[in-house]
Amino acid sequence: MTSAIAVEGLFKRYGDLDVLRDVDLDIGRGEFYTLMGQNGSGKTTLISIVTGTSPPTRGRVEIHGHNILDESEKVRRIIGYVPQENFSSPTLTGHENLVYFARLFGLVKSEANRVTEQLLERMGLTEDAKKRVSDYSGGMRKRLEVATALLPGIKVLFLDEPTTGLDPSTRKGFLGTLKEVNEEGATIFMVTHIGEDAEVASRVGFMDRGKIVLEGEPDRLKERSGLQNVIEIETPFKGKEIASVVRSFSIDGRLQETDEGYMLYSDKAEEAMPRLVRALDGVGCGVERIEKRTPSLEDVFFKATRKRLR
Amino acid sequence: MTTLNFLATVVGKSLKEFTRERMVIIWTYAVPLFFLAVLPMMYGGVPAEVVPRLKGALTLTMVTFLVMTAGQSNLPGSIAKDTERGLYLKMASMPVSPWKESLGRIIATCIFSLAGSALMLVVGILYGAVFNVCLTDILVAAGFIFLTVVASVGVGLIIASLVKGESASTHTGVAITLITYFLGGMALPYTSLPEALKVFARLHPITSANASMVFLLEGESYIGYNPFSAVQIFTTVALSFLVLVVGIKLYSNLCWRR
Repeated sequence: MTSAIAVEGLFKRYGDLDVLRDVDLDIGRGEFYTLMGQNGSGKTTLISIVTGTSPPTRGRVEIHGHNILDESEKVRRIIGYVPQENFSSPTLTGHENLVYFARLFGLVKSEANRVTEQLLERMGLTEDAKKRVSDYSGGMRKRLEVATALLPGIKVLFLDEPTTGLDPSTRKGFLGTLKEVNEEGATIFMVTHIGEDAEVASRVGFMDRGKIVLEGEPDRLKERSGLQNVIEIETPFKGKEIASVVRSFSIDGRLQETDEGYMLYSDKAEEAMPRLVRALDGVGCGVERIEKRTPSLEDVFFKATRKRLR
Repeated sequence: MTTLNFLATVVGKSLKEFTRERMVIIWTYAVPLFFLAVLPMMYGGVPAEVVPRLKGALTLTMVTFLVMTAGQSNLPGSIAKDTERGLYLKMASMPVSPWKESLGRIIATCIFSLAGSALMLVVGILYGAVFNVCLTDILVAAGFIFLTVVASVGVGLIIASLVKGESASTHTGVAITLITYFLGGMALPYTSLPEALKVFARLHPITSANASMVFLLEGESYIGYNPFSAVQIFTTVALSFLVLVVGIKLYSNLCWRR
Protein backbone atom coordinates (compact mmCIF):
# COMPACT_ATOMS: atom_id res chain seq x y z
CA MET A 1 0.00 0.00 0.00
CA THR A 2 1.34 3.44 -0.89
CA SER A 3 1.85 6.14 1.72
CA ALA A 4 -0.73 8.80 2.52
CA ILE A 5 1.95 11.48 2.14
CA ALA A 6 5.30 10.82 0.52
CA VAL A 7 7.84 13.62 0.25
CA GLU A 8 11.25 13.12 -1.32
CA GLY A 9 14.11 15.61 -1.59
CA LEU A 10 11.83 18.61 -1.21
CA PHE A 11 13.69 21.86 -1.64
CA LYS A 12 12.33 25.41 -1.59
CA ARG A 13 14.31 28.58 -2.16
CA TYR A 14 12.99 32.13 -1.82
CA GLY A 15 15.58 34.47 -3.31
CA ASP A 16 18.84 33.59 -1.56
CA LEU A 17 17.11 31.82 1.32
CA ASP A 18 16.82 28.04 1.41
CA VAL A 19 13.58 27.57 3.35
CA LEU A 20 13.34 23.80 2.85
CA ARG A 21 16.50 21.74 2.44
CA ASP A 22 15.91 18.27 1.00
CA VAL A 23 13.04 17.24 3.22
CA ASP A 24 12.03 13.57 3.17
CA LEU A 25 8.82 12.43 4.79
CA ASP A 26 6.76 9.28 4.69
CA ILE A 27 3.41 9.29 6.47
CA GLY A 28 1.31 6.13 6.45
CA ARG A 29 -2.43 6.01 5.84
CA GLY A 30 -4.38 6.62 9.02
CA GLU A 31 -1.41 8.17 10.82
CA PHE A 32 -1.66 11.33 12.95
CA TYR A 33 1.59 13.14 12.28
CA THR A 34 2.56 16.39 13.97
CA LEU A 35 5.36 18.63 12.79
CA MET A 36 6.90 20.90 15.41
CA GLY A 37 9.23 23.79 14.85
CA GLN A 38 9.98 27.40 15.57
CA ASN A 39 8.52 30.24 13.54
CA GLY A 40 10.51 30.44 10.33
CA SER A 41 11.72 26.84 10.46
CA GLY A 42 9.88 26.00 7.21
CA LYS A 43 6.75 24.28 8.58
CA THR A 44 4.23 26.48 6.81
CA THR A 45 6.23 26.38 3.57
CA LEU A 46 6.20 22.59 3.75
CA ILE A 47 2.44 22.43 4.34
CA SER A 48 1.78 24.93 1.55
CA ILE A 49 3.75 22.77 -0.90
CA VAL A 50 2.18 19.47 0.08
CA THR A 51 -1.30 21.03 -0.21
CA GLY A 52 -0.49 22.32 -3.68
CA THR A 53 -0.85 25.99 -2.81
CA SER A 54 2.81 26.76 -3.52
CA PRO A 55 5.24 25.07 -5.94
CA PRO A 56 8.51 23.49 -4.76
CA THR A 57 11.87 24.51 -6.20
CA ARG A 58 12.58 20.80 -6.60
CA GLY A 59 11.56 17.49 -5.08
CA ARG A 60 8.61 15.13 -5.26
CA VAL A 61 5.36 15.05 -3.30
CA GLU A 62 2.71 12.34 -3.58
CA ILE A 63 -0.61 12.16 -1.80
CA HIS A 64 -2.14 8.66 -1.86
CA GLY A 65 0.12 7.89 -4.80
CA HIS A 66 -0.87 10.97 -6.83
CA ASN A 67 1.85 13.43 -7.75
CA ILE A 68 0.98 16.88 -6.43
CA LEU A 69 2.08 18.63 -9.65
CA ASP A 70 1.03 16.18 -12.37
CA GLU A 71 -2.26 15.08 -10.79
CA SER A 72 -3.21 18.21 -8.89
CA GLU A 73 -6.95 17.89 -9.61
CA LYS A 74 -7.04 14.36 -8.16
CA VAL A 75 -5.05 15.48 -5.14
CA ARG A 76 -7.39 18.43 -4.48
CA ARG A 77 -10.32 16.00 -4.27
CA ILE A 78 -8.76 13.98 -1.46
CA ILE A 79 -7.16 16.63 0.74
CA GLY A 80 -8.68 19.02 3.24
CA TYR A 81 -6.54 22.00 4.23
CA VAL A 82 -7.20 24.23 7.22
CA PRO A 83 -4.85 27.24 7.04
CA GLN A 84 -3.78 29.06 10.18
CA GLU A 85 -6.03 32.05 9.46
CA ASN A 86 -9.78 32.02 10.13
CA PHE A 87 -10.93 31.76 6.52
CA SER A 88 -14.68 31.33 7.15
CA SER A 89 -16.82 34.34 6.30
CA PRO A 90 -17.91 36.21 9.45
CA THR A 91 -20.97 37.69 7.71
CA LEU A 92 -22.36 34.26 6.79
CA THR A 93 -23.85 31.76 9.23
CA GLY A 94 -22.04 28.55 10.11
CA HIS A 95 -24.49 26.61 7.93
CA GLU A 96 -24.03 28.97 4.98
CA ASN A 97 -20.25 28.74 5.25
CA LEU A 98 -20.23 24.97 5.20
CA VAL A 99 -22.71 24.75 2.33
CA TYR A 100 -20.51 27.20 0.41
CA PHE A 101 -17.39 25.07 0.79
CA ALA A 102 -19.32 21.86 0.11
CA ARG A 103 -20.61 23.33 -3.14
CA LEU A 104 -17.18 24.66 -4.12
CA PHE A 105 -15.98 21.10 -3.55
CA GLY A 106 -18.49 19.97 -6.17
CA LEU A 107 -21.50 18.74 -4.23
CA VAL A 108 -24.98 19.52 -5.58
CA LYS A 109 -27.23 21.68 -3.40
CA SER A 110 -29.24 18.89 -1.75
CA GLU A 111 -26.12 16.83 -1.05
CA ALA A 112 -24.27 19.91 0.25
CA ASN A 113 -27.13 20.61 2.67
CA ARG A 114 -27.25 17.00 3.86
CA VAL A 115 -23.48 16.81 4.40
CA THR A 116 -23.52 20.20 6.14
CA GLU A 117 -26.14 19.00 8.65
CA GLN A 118 -24.01 15.93 9.39
CA LEU A 119 -20.80 17.90 9.82
CA LEU A 120 -22.43 20.50 12.06
CA GLU A 121 -23.78 17.69 14.22
CA ARG A 122 -20.39 16.02 14.37
CA MET A 123 -18.67 19.26 15.37
CA GLY A 124 -21.32 20.06 17.97
CA LEU A 125 -22.43 23.18 16.13
CA THR A 126 -26.01 22.27 15.20
CA GLU A 127 -27.57 24.66 17.72
CA ASP A 128 -25.41 27.53 16.46
CA ALA A 129 -25.76 26.70 12.77
CA LYS A 130 -27.98 29.72 12.04
CA LYS A 131 -25.78 32.18 13.91
CA ARG A 132 -23.39 34.38 11.99
CA VAL A 133 -19.79 33.28 12.36
CA SER A 134 -18.93 36.74 13.72
CA ASP A 135 -20.86 35.61 16.84
CA TYR A 136 -18.86 32.37 17.19
CA SER A 137 -16.09 31.87 19.74
CA GLY A 138 -12.57 31.08 18.48
CA GLY A 139 -13.03 27.38 19.22
CA MET A 140 -16.40 27.18 17.44
CA ARG A 141 -14.98 28.91 14.39
CA LYS A 142 -12.01 26.59 14.23
CA ARG A 143 -14.27 23.52 14.53
CA LEU A 144 -16.39 24.89 11.68
CA GLU A 145 -13.28 25.34 9.57
CA VAL A 146 -12.05 21.84 10.32
CA ALA A 147 -15.47 20.62 9.16
CA THR A 148 -14.69 22.06 5.71
CA ALA A 149 -11.82 19.57 5.57
CA LEU A 150 -14.08 16.60 6.31
CA LEU A 151 -16.17 16.68 3.15
CA PRO A 152 -16.92 13.32 1.50
CA GLY A 153 -13.93 11.82 -0.28
CA ILE A 154 -11.31 13.69 1.72
CA LYS A 155 -8.68 11.29 3.03
CA VAL A 156 -5.87 13.51 4.28
CA LEU A 157 -6.27 16.56 6.54
CA PHE A 158 -3.65 19.29 6.73
CA LEU A 159 -3.90 21.63 9.71
CA ASP A 160 -1.62 24.63 10.17
CA GLU A 161 -1.38 25.75 13.82
CA PRO A 162 -5.07 24.97 14.40
CA THR A 163 -5.06 25.71 18.14
CA THR A 164 -3.50 29.17 17.98
CA GLY A 165 -5.61 31.57 20.05
CA LEU A 166 -7.73 28.86 21.71
CA ASP A 167 -7.97 28.70 25.49
CA PRO A 168 -6.65 25.50 27.15
CA SER A 169 -10.03 23.80 27.69
CA THR A 170 -11.25 24.60 24.16
CA ARG A 171 -7.92 23.36 22.83
CA LYS A 172 -8.30 20.07 24.65
CA GLY A 173 -11.81 19.52 23.27
CA PHE A 174 -10.67 20.46 19.80
CA LEU A 175 -7.75 18.02 19.89
CA GLY A 176 -10.14 15.32 21.12
CA THR A 177 -12.27 15.91 18.03
CA LEU A 178 -9.20 15.60 15.81
CA LYS A 179 -8.28 12.34 17.49
CA GLU A 180 -11.77 10.97 16.78
CA VAL A 181 -11.51 12.01 13.14
CA ASN A 182 -8.16 10.22 12.94
CA GLU A 183 -9.55 7.08 14.59
CA GLU A 184 -12.24 6.97 11.93
CA GLY A 185 -9.53 6.53 9.31
CA ALA A 186 -8.43 9.99 8.15
CA THR A 187 -4.71 10.75 7.94
CA ILE A 188 -3.85 13.96 9.78
CA PHE A 189 -0.81 16.15 9.22
CA MET A 190 -0.71 18.95 11.77
CA VAL A 191 1.81 21.74 12.19
CA THR A 192 2.22 23.22 15.65
CA HIS A 193 4.69 24.84 17.99
CA ILE A 194 2.81 23.67 21.09
CA GLY A 195 4.22 20.51 22.67
CA GLU A 196 0.96 19.52 24.38
CA ASP A 197 -0.85 19.53 21.05
CA ALA A 198 1.77 17.26 19.53
CA GLU A 199 1.19 14.69 22.29
CA VAL A 200 -2.03 13.53 20.59
CA ALA A 201 -0.13 12.46 17.46
CA SER A 202 1.03 8.95 16.70
CA ARG A 203 4.28 10.38 15.34
CA VAL A 204 6.07 13.69 15.75
CA GLY A 205 8.71 15.36 13.61
CA PHE A 206 10.95 18.24 14.65
CA MET A 207 11.80 20.79 12.00
CA ASP A 208 14.76 23.10 12.25
CA ARG A 209 16.18 25.39 9.58
CA GLY A 210 14.35 23.69 6.73
CA LYS A 211 15.11 20.10 7.69
CA ILE A 212 13.38 17.42 9.73
CA VAL A 213 16.00 16.73 12.37
CA LEU A 214 14.22 14.12 14.51
CA GLU A 215 11.12 11.94 14.18
CA GLY A 216 9.35 9.35 16.29
CA GLU A 217 6.46 8.45 18.55
CA PRO A 218 6.02 11.03 21.31
CA ASP A 219 6.88 8.63 24.16
CA ARG A 220 9.81 7.14 22.30
CA LEU A 221 11.20 10.60 21.57
CA LYS A 222 11.07 11.44 25.26
CA GLU A 223 12.71 8.15 26.19
CA ARG A 224 15.43 8.54 23.59
CA SER A 225 16.15 12.09 24.71
CA GLY A 226 17.46 10.73 28.00
CA LEU A 227 15.64 13.45 29.84
CA GLN A 228 14.25 12.28 33.16
CA ASN A 229 13.31 15.47 34.93
CA VAL A 230 13.09 19.14 34.19
CA ILE A 231 13.85 21.59 36.99
CA GLU A 232 12.32 25.04 36.76
CA ILE A 233 13.80 27.64 39.03
CA GLU A 234 12.64 31.20 39.66
CA THR A 235 15.22 33.70 40.88
CA PRO A 236 14.84 37.38 41.84
CA PHE A 237 17.51 38.32 39.31
CA LYS A 238 19.69 36.70 36.65
CA GLY A 239 23.34 36.98 35.75
CA LYS A 240 26.42 35.17 34.44
CA GLU A 241 27.52 33.89 37.85
CA ILE A 242 24.06 32.59 38.69
CA ALA A 243 23.69 30.95 35.29
CA SER A 244 27.04 29.26 35.77
CA VAL A 245 25.98 27.84 39.16
CA VAL A 246 22.67 26.58 37.78
CA ARG A 247 24.35 25.11 34.69
CA SER A 248 26.66 22.99 36.86
CA PHE A 249 23.56 20.99 37.94
CA SER A 250 22.43 20.25 34.38
CA ILE A 251 23.12 16.74 33.07
CA ASP A 252 24.10 17.94 29.63
CA GLY A 253 25.46 21.37 30.49
CA ARG A 254 22.51 22.97 28.74
CA LEU A 255 20.56 25.73 30.39
CA GLN A 256 17.50 27.48 29.16
CA GLU A 257 16.77 30.98 30.35
CA THR A 258 13.08 31.60 31.00
CA ASP A 259 11.16 34.80 31.79
CA GLU A 260 11.39 34.18 35.53
CA GLY A 261 14.69 32.32 35.84
CA TYR A 262 16.13 29.14 34.39
CA MET A 263 15.23 25.64 33.25
CA LEU A 264 17.60 22.67 33.25
CA TYR A 265 17.56 18.90 32.80
CA SER A 266 18.48 16.59 35.63
CA ASP A 267 18.50 12.82 36.17
CA LYS A 268 18.16 13.02 39.97
CA ALA A 269 16.07 16.11 40.53
CA GLU A 270 15.03 15.25 44.12
CA GLU A 271 18.65 15.23 45.22
CA ALA A 272 19.78 18.10 43.03
CA MET A 273 17.12 20.63 44.04
CA PRO A 274 18.16 21.24 47.69
CA ARG A 275 21.83 21.36 46.65
CA LEU A 276 21.02 23.87 43.94
CA VAL A 277 19.15 26.11 46.41
CA ARG A 278 22.15 26.00 48.77
CA ALA A 279 24.60 26.74 45.93
CA LEU A 280 22.61 29.76 44.86
CA ASP A 281 22.40 30.96 48.46
CA GLY A 282 26.19 30.76 48.48
CA VAL A 283 26.40 33.33 45.67
CA GLY A 284 23.84 35.58 47.32
CA CYS A 285 20.88 34.65 45.17
CA GLY A 286 17.71 33.49 46.88
CA VAL A 287 15.28 31.14 45.17
CA GLU A 288 11.67 32.26 44.81
CA ARG A 289 10.36 28.98 43.40
CA ILE A 290 11.85 25.65 42.39
CA GLU A 291 10.00 22.62 41.07
CA LYS A 292 10.49 19.55 38.96
CA ARG A 293 8.28 18.24 36.21
CA THR A 294 8.35 15.48 33.64
CA PRO A 295 9.80 16.49 30.27
CA SER A 296 7.48 17.56 27.47
CA LEU A 297 7.98 17.39 23.73
CA GLU A 298 9.04 21.03 23.87
CA ASP A 299 11.87 20.00 26.19
CA VAL A 300 12.87 17.24 23.80
CA PHE A 301 12.78 19.75 20.96
CA PHE A 302 14.99 22.10 22.95
CA LYS A 303 17.44 19.32 23.68
CA ALA A 304 17.58 18.36 20.01
CA THR A 305 17.87 21.85 18.55
CA ARG A 306 18.88 24.14 21.46
CA LYS A 307 15.91 26.30 20.50
CA ARG A 308 12.76 27.16 22.40
CA LEU A 309 9.43 26.73 20.72
CA ARG A 310 7.69 29.54 22.58
CA MET B 1 -21.47 20.32 -10.36
CA THR B 2 -22.13 22.34 -13.48
CA THR B 3 -20.48 25.69 -14.13
CA LEU B 4 -23.84 27.41 -13.62
CA ASN B 5 -24.29 25.85 -10.19
CA PHE B 6 -20.75 26.82 -9.27
CA LEU B 7 -21.33 30.41 -10.38
CA ALA B 8 -24.62 30.54 -8.47
CA THR B 9 -22.74 29.48 -5.32
CA VAL B 10 -20.09 32.19 -5.63
CA VAL B 11 -22.63 34.85 -6.67
CA GLY B 12 -24.93 33.97 -3.74
CA LYS B 13 -22.12 34.16 -1.21
CA SER B 14 -20.76 37.48 -2.56
CA LEU B 15 -24.22 39.08 -2.65
CA LYS B 16 -24.92 37.99 0.94
CA GLU B 17 -21.63 39.52 2.04
CA PHE B 18 -22.32 42.80 0.17
CA THR B 19 -25.85 43.20 1.46
CA ARG B 20 -25.11 42.23 5.08
CA GLU B 21 -22.31 44.76 5.50
CA ARG B 22 -23.99 48.00 6.55
CA MET B 23 -21.04 50.15 5.48
CA VAL B 24 -21.04 48.65 1.99
CA ILE B 25 -24.70 49.60 1.56
CA ILE B 26 -24.09 53.09 2.94
CA TRP B 27 -21.02 53.78 0.81
CA THR B 28 -22.44 52.33 -2.38
CA TYR B 29 -26.13 53.25 -2.26
CA ALA B 30 -26.58 56.01 0.30
CA VAL B 31 -23.78 58.36 -0.79
CA PRO B 32 -24.96 58.80 -4.42
CA LEU B 33 -28.55 59.07 -3.16
CA PHE B 34 -27.39 61.84 -0.83
CA PHE B 35 -25.68 63.68 -3.72
CA LEU B 36 -28.81 63.23 -5.80
CA ALA B 37 -30.87 64.84 -3.06
CA VAL B 38 -28.48 67.65 -2.17
CA LEU B 39 -26.84 68.83 -5.42
CA PRO B 40 -30.10 70.08 -7.07
CA MET B 41 -30.42 72.51 -4.13
CA MET B 42 -27.51 74.37 -5.72
CA TYR B 43 -29.39 74.96 -8.99
CA GLY B 44 -30.55 78.37 -7.66
CA GLY B 45 -29.84 80.45 -10.78
CA VAL B 46 -30.92 77.81 -13.27
CA PRO B 47 -34.16 78.41 -15.23
CA ALA B 48 -36.96 76.22 -13.80
CA GLU B 49 -37.64 74.48 -17.13
CA VAL B 50 -34.05 73.21 -17.31
CA VAL B 51 -33.96 71.75 -13.79
CA PRO B 52 -35.72 68.44 -14.61
CA ARG B 53 -33.18 67.73 -17.38
CA LEU B 54 -30.30 68.68 -15.09
CA LYS B 55 -31.70 66.31 -12.51
CA GLY B 56 -31.85 63.66 -15.22
CA ALA B 57 -28.18 64.20 -16.09
CA LEU B 58 -27.28 64.15 -12.40
CA THR B 59 -29.23 60.90 -11.87
CA LEU B 60 -27.29 59.21 -14.67
CA THR B 61 -23.99 60.49 -13.30
CA MET B 62 -24.90 59.15 -9.85
CA VAL B 63 -25.70 55.78 -11.42
CA THR B 64 -22.15 55.80 -12.81
CA PHE B 65 -20.79 56.93 -9.43
CA LEU B 66 -22.59 54.02 -7.74
CA VAL B 67 -21.34 51.53 -10.30
CA MET B 68 -17.78 52.83 -9.87
CA THR B 69 -17.99 52.55 -6.08
CA ALA B 70 -19.27 48.96 -6.25
CA GLY B 71 -16.68 47.81 -8.79
CA GLN B 72 -13.65 49.86 -7.81
CA SER B 73 -14.04 49.94 -4.04
CA ASN B 74 -16.38 47.21 -2.73
CA LEU B 75 -15.03 44.47 -4.98
CA PRO B 76 -11.31 44.97 -4.20
CA GLY B 77 -12.19 45.49 -0.52
CA SER B 78 -13.97 42.15 -0.35
CA ILE B 79 -11.19 40.37 -2.26
CA ALA B 80 -8.54 41.88 0.03
CA LYS B 81 -10.52 40.83 3.09
CA ASP B 82 -10.76 37.27 1.77
CA THR B 83 -7.02 37.28 1.05
CA GLU B 84 -6.21 38.49 4.56
CA ARG B 85 -8.30 35.78 6.15
CA GLY B 86 -6.71 33.01 4.10
CA LEU B 87 -9.70 32.14 1.93
CA TYR B 88 -7.57 32.00 -1.21
CA LEU B 89 -5.13 29.61 0.45
CA LYS B 90 -8.08 27.40 1.33
CA MET B 91 -9.60 27.61 -2.16
CA ALA B 92 -6.24 26.99 -3.82
CA SER B 93 -6.15 23.60 -2.10
CA MET B 94 -9.64 22.77 -3.41
CA PRO B 95 -10.83 21.75 -6.88
CA VAL B 96 -11.81 25.35 -7.71
CA SER B 97 -11.07 27.22 -10.95
CA PRO B 98 -9.78 30.79 -10.41
CA TRP B 99 -11.45 31.91 -13.64
CA LYS B 100 -14.86 30.61 -12.63
CA GLU B 101 -14.48 32.04 -9.14
CA SER B 102 -13.58 35.46 -10.54
CA LEU B 103 -16.54 35.27 -12.93
CA GLY B 104 -18.83 34.58 -9.96
CA ARG B 105 -17.51 37.65 -8.15
CA ILE B 106 -17.92 39.77 -11.30
CA ILE B 107 -21.52 38.66 -11.78
CA ALA B 108 -22.31 39.40 -8.12
CA THR B 109 -20.84 42.90 -8.47
CA CYS B 110 -22.85 43.41 -11.68
CA ILE B 111 -26.10 42.39 -9.94
CA PHE B 112 -25.32 44.59 -6.93
CA SER B 113 -24.48 47.54 -9.22
CA LEU B 114 -27.47 47.09 -11.49
CA ALA B 115 -29.88 46.80 -8.54
CA GLY B 116 -28.43 50.05 -7.19
CA SER B 117 -28.69 51.67 -10.63
CA ALA B 118 -32.38 50.76 -10.85
CA LEU B 119 -32.96 52.20 -7.38
CA MET B 120 -31.12 55.39 -8.34
CA LEU B 121 -33.18 55.83 -11.51
CA VAL B 122 -36.46 55.31 -9.62
CA VAL B 123 -35.46 57.81 -6.92
CA GLY B 124 -34.24 60.28 -9.58
CA ILE B 125 -37.56 60.10 -11.46
CA LEU B 126 -39.55 60.48 -8.23
CA TYR B 127 -37.38 63.51 -7.46
CA GLY B 128 -38.30 65.13 -10.78
CA ALA B 129 -35.65 63.93 -13.22
CA VAL B 130 -36.80 63.87 -16.84
CA PHE B 131 -35.24 61.87 -19.69
CA ASN B 132 -35.73 61.81 -23.49
CA VAL B 133 -36.89 58.25 -23.61
CA CYS B 134 -37.72 55.78 -26.32
CA LEU B 135 -37.24 52.02 -26.14
CA THR B 136 -34.10 52.05 -28.29
CA ASP B 137 -32.51 54.76 -26.16
CA ILE B 138 -33.22 52.79 -22.99
CA LEU B 139 -31.58 49.69 -24.44
CA VAL B 140 -28.54 51.63 -25.65
CA ALA B 141 -28.27 53.43 -22.28
CA ALA B 142 -28.48 50.05 -20.51
CA GLY B 143 -25.61 48.94 -22.72
CA PHE B 144 -23.52 51.90 -21.56
CA ILE B 145 -24.36 51.18 -17.90
CA PHE B 146 -23.16 47.65 -18.57
CA LEU B 147 -19.91 49.03 -20.00
CA THR B 148 -19.34 51.13 -16.87
CA VAL B 149 -19.87 47.99 -14.79
CA VAL B 150 -17.40 46.04 -16.95
CA ALA B 151 -14.72 48.73 -16.72
CA SER B 152 -15.30 49.37 -12.99
CA VAL B 153 -15.01 45.66 -12.19
CA GLY B 154 -11.85 45.50 -14.28
CA VAL B 155 -10.31 48.41 -12.38
CA GLY B 156 -11.47 46.79 -9.12
CA LEU B 157 -9.75 43.50 -9.97
CA ILE B 158 -6.55 45.35 -10.88
CA ILE B 159 -6.65 47.20 -7.53
CA ALA B 160 -7.33 43.94 -5.67
CA SER B 161 -4.37 42.28 -7.38
CA LEU B 162 -1.86 45.07 -6.84
CA VAL B 163 -2.87 46.68 -3.52
CA LYS B 164 -2.67 44.50 -0.43
CA GLY B 165 -4.90 44.87 2.61
CA GLU B 166 -8.63 45.56 2.89
CA SER B 167 -8.29 49.16 4.03
CA ALA B 168 -5.67 50.06 1.42
CA SER B 169 -7.66 48.42 -1.40
CA THR B 170 -10.92 50.08 -0.42
CA HIS B 171 -9.34 53.51 -0.04
CA THR B 172 -7.47 53.19 -3.33
CA GLY B 173 -10.79 52.37 -4.97
CA VAL B 174 -12.49 55.37 -3.36
CA ALA B 175 -9.63 57.66 -4.43
CA ILE B 176 -9.76 56.44 -8.05
CA THR B 177 -13.55 56.85 -8.07
CA LEU B 178 -13.30 60.43 -6.81
CA ILE B 179 -10.48 61.32 -9.22
CA THR B 180 -12.50 59.90 -12.11
CA TYR B 181 -15.63 61.74 -10.94
CA PHE B 182 -13.98 65.14 -10.49
CA LEU B 183 -11.46 65.11 -13.34
CA GLY B 184 -13.39 63.11 -15.95
CA GLY B 185 -16.11 65.61 -16.78
CA MET B 186 -18.73 64.15 -14.44
CA ALA B 187 -18.67 66.66 -11.57
CA LEU B 188 -17.61 69.64 -13.71
CA PRO B 189 -18.78 70.42 -17.25
CA TYR B 190 -16.62 68.85 -19.95
CA THR B 191 -16.28 72.25 -21.67
CA SER B 192 -14.64 73.77 -18.59
CA LEU B 193 -11.91 71.09 -18.43
CA PRO B 194 -8.36 71.82 -19.62
CA GLU B 195 -7.34 70.07 -22.85
CA ALA B 196 -5.43 67.27 -21.11
CA LEU B 197 -8.43 66.38 -18.96
CA LYS B 198 -10.71 66.49 -22.00
CA VAL B 199 -8.54 63.78 -23.55
CA PHE B 200 -8.68 61.87 -20.25
CA ALA B 201 -12.49 62.16 -20.14
CA ARG B 202 -12.85 60.86 -23.68
CA LEU B 203 -10.35 58.02 -23.29
CA HIS B 204 -11.50 56.79 -19.89
CA PRO B 205 -14.08 54.07 -20.61
CA ILE B 206 -16.22 54.96 -17.57
CA THR B 207 -16.45 58.74 -18.09
CA SER B 208 -16.91 58.21 -21.80
CA ALA B 209 -19.74 55.69 -21.24
CA ASN B 210 -21.32 58.10 -18.76
CA ALA B 211 -21.10 60.91 -21.34
CA SER B 212 -22.74 58.64 -23.92
CA MET B 213 -25.66 57.88 -21.57
CA VAL B 214 -26.24 61.52 -20.69
CA PHE B 215 -25.90 62.57 -24.35
CA LEU B 216 -28.43 59.94 -25.35
CA LEU B 217 -31.04 60.71 -22.69
CA GLU B 218 -30.52 64.44 -22.15
CA GLY B 219 -28.75 65.86 -25.23
CA GLU B 220 -25.34 67.27 -26.20
CA SER B 221 -25.73 70.49 -24.19
CA TYR B 222 -25.40 68.48 -20.96
CA ILE B 223 -22.13 66.91 -22.10
CA GLY B 224 -20.34 69.36 -24.35
CA TYR B 225 -19.26 66.95 -27.06
CA ASN B 226 -20.74 64.22 -29.21
CA PRO B 227 -19.53 60.84 -27.91
CA PHE B 228 -21.40 58.94 -30.63
CA SER B 229 -18.61 58.86 -33.20
CA ALA B 230 -17.48 55.44 -34.39
CA VAL B 231 -13.96 55.94 -33.02
CA GLN B 232 -15.25 57.10 -29.63
CA ILE B 233 -17.69 54.19 -29.24
CA PHE B 234 -15.09 51.65 -30.38
CA THR B 235 -12.56 53.11 -27.91
CA THR B 236 -15.05 52.95 -25.03
CA VAL B 237 -16.11 49.37 -25.74
CA ALA B 238 -12.59 48.12 -26.42
CA LEU B 239 -11.01 49.77 -23.39
CA SER B 240 -13.83 48.58 -21.08
CA PHE B 241 -13.26 44.96 -22.02
CA LEU B 242 -9.48 45.36 -22.13
CA VAL B 243 -9.48 46.64 -18.54
CA LEU B 244 -11.69 43.69 -17.53
CA VAL B 245 -9.46 41.10 -19.19
CA VAL B 246 -6.33 42.62 -17.64
CA GLY B 247 -8.11 42.64 -14.25
CA ILE B 248 -9.13 38.96 -14.49
CA LYS B 249 -5.66 37.94 -15.62
CA LEU B 250 -3.93 39.80 -12.78
CA TYR B 251 -6.46 38.52 -10.25
CA SER B 252 -6.05 34.90 -11.34
CA ASN B 253 -2.26 35.14 -11.21
CA LEU B 254 -1.69 37.30 -8.15
CA CYS B 255 -4.60 36.66 -5.75
CA TRP B 256 -4.59 32.91 -6.27
CA ARG B 257 -1.47 31.22 -4.93
CA ARG B 258 -0.85 27.90 -6.61
